[in-house]
Amino acid sequence: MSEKYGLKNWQELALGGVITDGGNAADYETGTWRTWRPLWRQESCINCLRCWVFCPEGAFVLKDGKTPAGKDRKEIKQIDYYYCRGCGLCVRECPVNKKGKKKAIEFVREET
Amino acid sequence: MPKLQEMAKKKTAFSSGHRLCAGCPVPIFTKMLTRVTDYDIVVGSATGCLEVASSIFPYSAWNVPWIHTAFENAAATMSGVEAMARVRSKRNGNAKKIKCVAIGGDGGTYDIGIQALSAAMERGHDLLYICYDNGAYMNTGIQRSGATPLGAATTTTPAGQVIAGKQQQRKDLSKIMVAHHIDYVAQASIHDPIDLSEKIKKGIELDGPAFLNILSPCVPGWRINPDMAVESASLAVETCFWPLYEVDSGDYTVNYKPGKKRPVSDWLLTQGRFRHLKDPQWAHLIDEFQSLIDEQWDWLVAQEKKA
Repeated sequence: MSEKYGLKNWQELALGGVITDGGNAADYETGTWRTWRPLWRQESCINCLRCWVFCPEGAFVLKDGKTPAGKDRKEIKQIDYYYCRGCGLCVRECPVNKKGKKKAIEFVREET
Repeated sequence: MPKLQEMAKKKTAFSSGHRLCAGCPVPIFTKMLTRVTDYDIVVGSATGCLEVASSIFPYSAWNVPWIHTAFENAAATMSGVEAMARVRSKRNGNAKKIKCVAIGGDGGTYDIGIQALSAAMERGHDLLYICYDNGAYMNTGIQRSGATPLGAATTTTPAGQVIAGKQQQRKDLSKIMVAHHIDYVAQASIHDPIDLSEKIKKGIELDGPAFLNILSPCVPGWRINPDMAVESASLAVETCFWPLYEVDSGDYTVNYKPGKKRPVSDWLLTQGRFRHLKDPQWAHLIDEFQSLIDEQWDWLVAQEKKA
């Protein structure tokens, strides 16, 4: 503990175990849990953001973009595999996948 | 969907790297908390999956001030915080209001925390209490709770040759909260992000007590595949096991009425915890389940008509 968090001893911990650095769980890698990998395909994506809203891990990264009509909008940029646990919720809930032929998110076995 | 676009522009209250199970739908609503409102919020969690998995020391997944309380007193702690914030803003003339949110699982709300919750609601604190109902004490290893539905197999009500899972029907906490005559009570489900975000927004921004009950399927507890949580919740709503409704100052509104009500077995038999009900000897339990749901649904629709 001491080396990893830069503390000399336990007396240096915040009183009551308070964590002063909010949201620092983002340093923790959960991508190692993955056995299946979702692959996002930009060419088939209709940018409905359903994967983004449902992803329990918040692994879908967004970027600024424009609608065909020229309005500002958020678009899917990529999947952050540092966090993605491969639960497959995005693959199942993707409306493009549900329609059939083309797939916007494909699910493949993780290479070991 | 413009609503999701609006939410996407804001920062989330809940960071990645928390340690909830793969496929657990609870972060769907915790990620929304700051995205639906412009208020500053303070969150308190009762012991449960969310609390344990989001705050494994020295990490915290919360980007907002967050308090861990014991199993039974999330509502009591947050009513204290709310009272403090109220007094402080009065003294300092502080214009920006802080809103309080308490979150508990069904064990920490239906059973252990109901006394503190009831008291906080009765006192009328400006507080939103969110219960995520996954139907058992999932965090400690799937023990039955007051929210476990009839016939579900848990580790304390296992299904065998003589007894088919839980013998009692579930408690209807939303109705208990309506009986407190508070400003806002609603049932939501994680499969409908638009309805869910509207209800969270309303609950947070309202000046007064509000209660929100969210159905949140549990991957290991319901014995479903990790990608099935959203679909399972959607089936629960389609079969009317979990009606989406809100009670605004006593007036009922049913937010979603399925065009054709599906039989409850469509939902039950997709889950491993009801697997034993496929056996013909327990067919009467499915009928009993169906009649309980029908009764509840008819009552709800009648309530709406009255209003």
